Amino acid sequence: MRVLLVDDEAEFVSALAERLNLRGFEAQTATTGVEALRKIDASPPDVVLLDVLMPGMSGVEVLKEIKKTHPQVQVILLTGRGSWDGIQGVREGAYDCLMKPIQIDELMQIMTDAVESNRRGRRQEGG
Amino acid sequence: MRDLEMAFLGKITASMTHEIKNTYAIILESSGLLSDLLTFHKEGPFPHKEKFHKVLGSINDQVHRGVALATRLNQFAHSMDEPVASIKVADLLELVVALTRRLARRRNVELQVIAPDRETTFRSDPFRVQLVLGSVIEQLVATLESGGKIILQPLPDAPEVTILCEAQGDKPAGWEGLSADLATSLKDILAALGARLAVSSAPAKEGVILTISAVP
Repeated sequence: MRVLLVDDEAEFVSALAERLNLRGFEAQTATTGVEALRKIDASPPDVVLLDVLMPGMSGVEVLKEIKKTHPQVQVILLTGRGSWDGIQGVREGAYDCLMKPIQIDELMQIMTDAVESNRRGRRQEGG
Repeated sequence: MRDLEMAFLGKITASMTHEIKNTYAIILESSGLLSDLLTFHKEGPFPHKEKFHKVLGSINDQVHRGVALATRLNQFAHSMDEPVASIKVADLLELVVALTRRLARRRNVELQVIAPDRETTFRSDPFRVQLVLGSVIEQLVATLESGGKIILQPLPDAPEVTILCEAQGDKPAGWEGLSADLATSLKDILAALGARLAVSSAPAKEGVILTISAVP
């Protein structure tokens, strides 16, 4: 599974990417919304893990752009705050919203569910 | 003016606790990566492997403890956002107990919340309600002997929001007077809340009862 991790905390995403890579994922990182959108355009991943609060483009703005240009890419939001960001994000098309800090097993399960849900949706559309 | 000051204090504290949680997230992922590298290590024996796992486990536990504290402080900070907000009684009592538990522990007094109804809400000033409850707990902790217990529970079927702070354990004679003095020291805040304090004595459950008129 190809994953893009987006958070302005570079150390957070690089450690998480290494952990996911050790478990067989193909994880890449971006530290701004603009960098994330560029990487998604160049090579769309299966899942984007996206921090809500980032300087410049917020996570929800990036999410809206992804859903416009690459609706098949599943987005999971990451927030350190209460549930409001998550509710707004899910309304905008995010698959789920996780609170920081995350448990890696839970994250892997949700990413797998997100990709599986996407596949089921496409199979149904294709009849 | 007070609302502006409180909102500013709340905003800054909420922002800082958010940053603290980000820091914890980095520590957790970094220690998780170290743990993974030990687990996935295939090239020969790794010296002190068990010791490393033990220390990393301890870091993990302490980070989760720190996250829980920062989360509570963040919730407390957000209680200053609005002068009137919808409050879930059970959540509010649990937050107050979490915030004051350390004070109580210093005198070996246990705090507990009994609120089986998780959904009851009312509208009031969340910060001031916490201030009053925190002051009541502080007073009762100072009154009780070591080994005592304070139980916070909403009283059902009351026309207004009524919370009993029951003080279980040995108390000095005349403790009721000390608790009654609280109503005087909190007079302005109680008036702003439309609330009142009363002391409940034996043979009823002993403690302090806070009654709050909800804002429509």
